[in-house]
This record gives sequence, structure tokens and C-alpha cells, in this order.
Amino acid sequence: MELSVEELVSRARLHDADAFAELIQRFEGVALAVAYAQTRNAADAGDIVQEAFMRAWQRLDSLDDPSRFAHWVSRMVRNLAIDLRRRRKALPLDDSFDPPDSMPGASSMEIAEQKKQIDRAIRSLDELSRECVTLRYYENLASKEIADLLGITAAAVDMRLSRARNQLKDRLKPFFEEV
Amino acid sequence: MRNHDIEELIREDLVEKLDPQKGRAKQHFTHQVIDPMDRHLVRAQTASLRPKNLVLIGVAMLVCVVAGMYLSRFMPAAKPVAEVKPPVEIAPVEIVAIPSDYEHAHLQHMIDAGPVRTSDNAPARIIRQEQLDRYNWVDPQTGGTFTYLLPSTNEYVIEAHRQ
Repeated sequence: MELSVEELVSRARLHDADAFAELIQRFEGVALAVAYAQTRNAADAGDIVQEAFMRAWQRLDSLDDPSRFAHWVSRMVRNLAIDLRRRRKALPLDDSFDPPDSMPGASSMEIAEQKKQIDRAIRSLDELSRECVTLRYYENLASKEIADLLGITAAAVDMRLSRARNQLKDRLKPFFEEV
Repeated sequence: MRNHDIEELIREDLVEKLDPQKGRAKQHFTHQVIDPMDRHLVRAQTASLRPKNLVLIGVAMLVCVVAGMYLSRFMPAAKPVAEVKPPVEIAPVEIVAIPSDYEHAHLQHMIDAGPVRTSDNAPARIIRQEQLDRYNWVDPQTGGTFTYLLPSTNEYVIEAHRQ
């Protein structure tokens, strides 16, 4: 029988590392989605999630409501992402540059270009909308679940998702119709 | 372009980028926390078994000793490995006496060995006297020269009021 989040947190608080590993397993996707929305870089998102869960393990006693574990970790992820951005402010990176995986052929060049356009379109969204999009389309979360994680209403999530879809469509339409 | 197409494109893009990152956090946690805890647990278990092992070994040794004592009653008496023979008498060694005509030299020096307290807790000083007596003589039978050295040390405790 699958243990509830509250039970896993209670066990983890008693230094049950396996229970905490189960929490990581359950919420790593959510944390990655939040981290990616913030950093717009998959490797950085992976680093931040790794660090966030280690901090969560060390500070588990400060979690007031065990049922809000995912929300708590997401907040930690967001803070770590902000720290990373601050550290890198002194050396800004060119967001438009995406190194190719290999020397592209004609069709792989098209695919690479498509990916670049999708990436740019997602980056063009504001932070909160980006989080809604990544949580919905990567983790398949319902609006209510996303709302709980982000601390907004489900209606606000729906509205942001709808706007984001329209914005993405506008940005991608010309390119994909050309292709 | 339909909403569904957009959603599929985004989904594919996110899966392609984020799936390779999945599992990193758990692996890191396992490496940093679970593995060291397991190693600690194994050490603790090993340590907790040690006293038990010692008790078992002690009991086994005791059983062996008691069994040996009990069985020795039924064993034939032990025979000596070899007979012990009385010691052979050796001719007495003749000690050559120092003849009356010898040369004698006496050397000595005094060393201040520092302050001490006597048993009455009175302040005192130790003076060490080191001496060397040397005797030389010629054996009239063999014509050989003999030298006999006799070192000796004396210590004197001199109380402060006598100094």
C-alpha cells in the first residue's frame, strides 16, 4: 500500500532516509518543472533540484504542514534558482544561443530550428505562466494542484494557461506554417 | 495550428530536456545520506555482535578446559621425556689474590646534583661523589700485567642549615 505524503514526511522526520527517498521520487518531476521554469536551463534545473532536496532533508523539522511538502520544496527550488540568477548576473549568458548536439543534416537542421523556436517561445512567457506551463505539460498536473503549488487560485492557473497557449501559438504559428 | 499541436510540441520539448535530469536528486541523496547511514549501520551491527562473540568464545574455552580436566582422570600417567641427571662437579676456580706490591691510583670528583627536600620537609642539597680506584700489578709467574678498576659512587644529603 502506498504511504501518504504526511506519513512519509513523519517517517523522514525520524531519520528514515528511505521514506525521504520516496518523497524525492514522487516530487522530483514537480521540482524539475518549477526549476526549469525559473532557470530555463535543464542542467541548472537538475542541480537546483538536487540541492533543494538535500536542504529539505536537513530542514524537515521546519516544515509546518507535512501535506504541503511539494509546495515547501517548490519554494526552496524557486529561492535557489533566484540565488543562481543573482550569482550569474555578473556574467550574463546569451539566452538565444543553443549549442547543437551534432553536425546537423538538412532534416535535423529543421528539427533543431523547431526546437529552438519552441524554446524561445516558452522563454518569452512570464515566470508564473512558465511555471503553469511546465507543471501542466511536463507533470500533467491539474489546475487545482498547480494552484496549490504556486499559491494562486485554480481559475488564475486556467487563465494563465489559456493566455500562454495563445501567446505560444502566435509565436510559433508563422514558423511552423512555413515549415 | 491547433491548441493540441502546441501542447504536444511543448510536452515533447519538456520531456526531451527534463527527463535526462530525473533521478539525479535521488541518486545524489542516496550517495550522500543513505549509503553512509548503511555503512554506519553495518559497523554498529558488527560492533554489537563483538561482545556476544567474546562471551561465546569464553564459554567455549571454559568447556574445553573442564572437559580436559575431566578426561585427564582416565588418561595414563605421563612419563618423563628424559631423566634428570645430577650436575657434574666442576673443579674450583683459583682466584689469584692481588699481590702486596701493586700500584694504586684514586680518582674522584664531586657533583652538585641539585636541591631536594628531606623526609622532614627541610631544604637540602644532594652532593654526589664519584670515585675510581685503579690497581696495577705484574703476575710474577706469567709476567702478565693486570689492571683492576673499581668505580664507586656516594651521595650525601646536606641540609640547608649545615651548608
